[in-house]
Amino acid sequence: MARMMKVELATTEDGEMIVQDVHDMLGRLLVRAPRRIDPELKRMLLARGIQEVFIPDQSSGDAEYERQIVEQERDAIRKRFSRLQDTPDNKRIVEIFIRAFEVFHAEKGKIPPV
Amino acid sequence: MTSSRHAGDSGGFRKEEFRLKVEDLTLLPAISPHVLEFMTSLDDPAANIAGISGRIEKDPGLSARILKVANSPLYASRGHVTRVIDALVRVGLMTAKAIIMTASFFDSIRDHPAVASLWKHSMAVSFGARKIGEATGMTRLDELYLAGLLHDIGKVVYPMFARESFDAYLEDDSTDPGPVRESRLFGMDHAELGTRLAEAWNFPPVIYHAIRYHHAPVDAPEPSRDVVNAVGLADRISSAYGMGHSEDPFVEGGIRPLIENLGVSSSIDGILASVLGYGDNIE
Ligand SMILES: [Fe+2]
Ligand SMILES: [Fe+2]
Repeated sequence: MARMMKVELATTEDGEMIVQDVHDMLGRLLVRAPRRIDPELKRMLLARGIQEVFIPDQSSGDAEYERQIVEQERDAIRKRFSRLQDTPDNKRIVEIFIRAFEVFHAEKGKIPPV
Repeated sequence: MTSSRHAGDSGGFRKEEFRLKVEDLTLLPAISPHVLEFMTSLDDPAANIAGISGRIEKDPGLSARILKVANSPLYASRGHVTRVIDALVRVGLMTAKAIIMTASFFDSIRDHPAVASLWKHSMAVSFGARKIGEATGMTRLDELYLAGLLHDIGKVVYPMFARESFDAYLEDDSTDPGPVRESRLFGMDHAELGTRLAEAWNFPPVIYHAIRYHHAPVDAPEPSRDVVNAVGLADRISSAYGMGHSEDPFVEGGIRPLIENLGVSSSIDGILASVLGYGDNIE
């Protein structure tokens, strides 16, 4: 499992990635990881009593971080599709979606931001 | 009294009461009189764009909304606009109406985290539906945008009138599809609920068909079929990539028929990449 670290939500910066799901005290899902922090999200979480979140441990290196993101998203896509019937047809569709994400993510690394 | 309550509901929620509140909402939407007046002016066939933009400019919140959409990635290739009138010309009056209506409606209950994510989901589906329309050469792209924006509008009503039951719904990990669980819990699924609202608010049939059938596009009436399929597919894509709030990528009949009926088998990779790019930009 890739490394992550717990940090105080109040000290996080916009754009940092939350890499573990956040639940409230009643166990209700507030944020599905991975998700970037923005001011609105931060305000909402703080208002709901969330004080700490998990972000990637950058000391584990960029490549490791990238691998972690891709792996998490791949799992997440499969999980989100879990209510679809498990037919060979649906499985193929899920693979198309995953492949498109992998290509997109790889391309993103190559293209400098506009 | 407890005997008339819906079994299993801890908040004293009653289906009949909920139904009545929905009826009220079709008569008088939960938005400010100011916005309502503006909406009525948009329905006026003699409406002129300069007059309307003048009215919008008096409301900084509305102006910001319209400008934000006009400058969103969807229209990015056409340059940046700073005047409300230019933004209106770019997005069209019908889209402006939908944006204002939907945004005001969402605002009335925005403190609920599921509603905030539903707004993002709706924007993503709008974007995706339009991209699918472009890829398939559909001409009425504004309708696609609008249908996408409104497709899940019915969901906003649950936290509005049945917050506790809605929270219970979100926690429920039953394997039944969302619409089935909604019908069980609230007596109406979000597609039916949204259709009633859109009909009452005078949106054209293609829009409420898209709302009604986005989880069952095969049942959609023929003239609206392409728009329904596009919204259905954009909805599944957004949900699959995590821009889906509480919705799973459920669709009756599976996703492949959508792709095939729209004829996007060979362009699906590009469409998926566009939606992923959009998601990256709105985060
Ligand atoms: Fe839906
Ligand atoms: Fe949806």
